[in-house]
Amino acid sequence: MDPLTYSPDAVRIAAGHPLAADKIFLAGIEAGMRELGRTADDDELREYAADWRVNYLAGQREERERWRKILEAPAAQLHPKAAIHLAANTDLDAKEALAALTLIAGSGRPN
Amino acid sequence: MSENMTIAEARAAERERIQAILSDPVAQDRRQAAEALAFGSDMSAVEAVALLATLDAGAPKAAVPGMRTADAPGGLIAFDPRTGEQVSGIVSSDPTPLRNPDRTKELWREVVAGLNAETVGTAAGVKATAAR
Repeated sequence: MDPLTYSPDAVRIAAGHPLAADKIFLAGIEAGMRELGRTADDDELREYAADWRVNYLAGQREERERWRKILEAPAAQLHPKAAIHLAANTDLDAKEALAALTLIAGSGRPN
Repeated sequence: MSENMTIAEARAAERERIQAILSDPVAQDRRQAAEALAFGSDMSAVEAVALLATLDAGAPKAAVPGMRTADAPGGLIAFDPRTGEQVSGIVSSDPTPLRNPDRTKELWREVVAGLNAETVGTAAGVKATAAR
């Protein structure tokens, strides 16, 4: 899934804005066109896209931090595949994932 | 605008990207580099894996191969500074005696005398050159 897709219309609307070359901003304009409909003017869409971008980057950062915390834990070094599995296939936060990994590490099962 | 939806969308996309990088067969022998690209760059999974493929497989080699002193059988040898007694490391109750201690002393004497003669000779040569 790639939410960072945009049309030539988004590129046209972004033109002249300081973030015109930023693909997250462009995807935000695309999302704005979907959300606000045809009645929205270009300024509204650009404003929407700037907020959308901030939220998108926050989500990206949160997920990246979650992965990093899980994979850096000593228990994850013992069971790297299990760590990747937990990070990729569950919504456990880093603390919960580490508890699960520690449990696995303590069981003495090979990875 | 649904703020939570955007964040959820971003998290899902990022999760997919990181998983694609770290689970790629190319990343298996390049784990450190794969994590550095996944967490420290905004490269797409395809770009990151392509870059990883250009790196040599395997972890960086240790600068000095072989055993360290601390890895020696019995660990580090330590002495009590007050008594002079050995307090850690292997303590041999029956140290192997030198086969011919006098011969060993003689050999050392010869080596030291040779080195002294060389040093004196060199120093004399330097003095003579300087005097000219």
